[in-house]
Amino acid sequence: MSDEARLLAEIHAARGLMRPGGSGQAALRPGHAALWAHATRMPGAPVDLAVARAIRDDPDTARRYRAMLGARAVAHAPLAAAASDGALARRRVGPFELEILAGEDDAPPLLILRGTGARMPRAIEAWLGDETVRLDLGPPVEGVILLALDPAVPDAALLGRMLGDPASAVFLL
Amino acid sequence: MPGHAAPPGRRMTLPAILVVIPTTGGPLRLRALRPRPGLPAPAAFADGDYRPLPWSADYARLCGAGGPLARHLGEAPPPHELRLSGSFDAGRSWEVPVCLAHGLAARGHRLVAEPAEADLILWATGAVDLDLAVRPGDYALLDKIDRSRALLAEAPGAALAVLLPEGPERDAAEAAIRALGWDPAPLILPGGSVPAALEALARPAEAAPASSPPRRLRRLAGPAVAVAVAGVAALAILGTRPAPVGGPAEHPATGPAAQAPSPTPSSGPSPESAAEGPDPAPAGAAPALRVEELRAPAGSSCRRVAFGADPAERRPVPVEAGDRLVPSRLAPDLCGIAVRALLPGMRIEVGAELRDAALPAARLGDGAQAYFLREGARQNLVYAVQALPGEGSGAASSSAVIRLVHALIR
Repeated sequence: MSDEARLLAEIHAARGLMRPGGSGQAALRPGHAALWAHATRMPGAPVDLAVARAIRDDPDTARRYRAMLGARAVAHAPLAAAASDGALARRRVGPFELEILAGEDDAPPLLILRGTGARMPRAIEAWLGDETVRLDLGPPVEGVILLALDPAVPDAALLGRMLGDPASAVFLL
Repeated sequence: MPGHAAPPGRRMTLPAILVVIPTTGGPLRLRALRPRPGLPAPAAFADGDYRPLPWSADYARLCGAGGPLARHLGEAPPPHELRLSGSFDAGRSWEVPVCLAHGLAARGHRLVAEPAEADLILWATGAVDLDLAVRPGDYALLDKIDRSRALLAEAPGAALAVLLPEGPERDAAEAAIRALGWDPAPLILPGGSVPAALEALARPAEAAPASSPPRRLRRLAGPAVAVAVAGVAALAILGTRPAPVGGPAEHPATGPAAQAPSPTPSSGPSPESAAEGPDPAPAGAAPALRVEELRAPAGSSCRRVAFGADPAERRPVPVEAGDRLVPSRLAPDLCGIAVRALLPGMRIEVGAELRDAALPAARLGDGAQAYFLREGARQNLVYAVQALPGEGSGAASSSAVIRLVHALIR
């Protein structure tokens, strides 16, 4: 290698080291394919923990992931447009309406999802801060999907708590 | 303790019932059946799963307007949340126990989730049609019974009522249930329809003083539970009878007979006389109404008789006591029942139990109405038959209503 070529290689390496995020952070950032695989996973399917950690810890990765979710979602709402400051019992996500029927006695709360769209969602994912949960939605019955927000089922209980918070984002997939 | 639709005032007066839904994967308990205002449609869930059960849509149709339960109850029940102790993927044998649970809840019974809380365990399986008739079929009864032993063993003090649909294992299953040695003897409910089973469960406490109630009920005391004790005691009594019977007051063929004079009891009051029903027909009037068995002659068959290829042998059914006829055995050559009023100007009214189990009535040569039993409906049943004064007939003023009760048993 000539002196000129070596100099150019050293300059290129130095620029790489000076780039924001550095090569160590970039190495942790999942690729597009890995993010897409994570965004399209089936509820309950095994999760790539490296991708999940990157989404949680790296705002840029989280933004890319949310953009992917929004692109493939039937409907999504980054925030609830709430006129109250209490817990939500009813929420609109695109053409769908989500209503939480309060629990009574030992009966768990129920999530009622009504929609007028041609295609009903098959899964729901909610985000609140760095917490996320994804649940499968059963088939609709007469245009209505029901979920039991059963305290005995941790993911369902978490979804119930998130949906009641106006700051949570909801993706219907 | 599960929720239920019982009117609050009646909760303490009726037995607590655990409804068991047997499956080939083991018995499931009905943990809750509660109305949920705001629920758009009935839904069924299993413990541990947030999604409705795969057959939840079928359950919604069962309870919906125009569905079988709405037809039975008179109106569609408000949307309920049904919760079971577990899930299963396929089959329709949940329909009978769920329909029974709805019927019991509508009558004010308290449904409980644990065997230890139950005064009565209701073990039922089968699918229903639009009229809530139980569809005959192979329901793997023996396997389900075998898998239910552990659950039943958790409630040794409760009464046991069982509904076994017609099918290849029905008789063996009844023998298996009786072989459990349940104390008191298990009540085998009529397996033909859900309403008949509910009537048998709700039958008034006839002859209750002659029996001791189930052990758990013996521990109960006070007027608040007196009705419950009597009700379950009746179940215990019925379980020892050759056939579960429906009370006269429950039969459609009742009404004006309430004005009929009392019978001459042969040996104390009959069981039916303890019920809230019309007075039995006068003993002397029994000959005015004839009930006959229609039997296939030797070398023939009920099919040939029903289609008129061979004439039926007609054997009068004698009166046993009061308004009760001697029960008839459902032998293969018993093709049906013929009824005829012997007094002029009288018309015949036959209870729905026989009409539902038979082909449309045919008129025989002497004017008798013949009810040929359908092949799939040859099961224990009790029906009432009445001879009523015909409209505008001269007999109306002089003739009393004649009413007889007849049982067909295996």
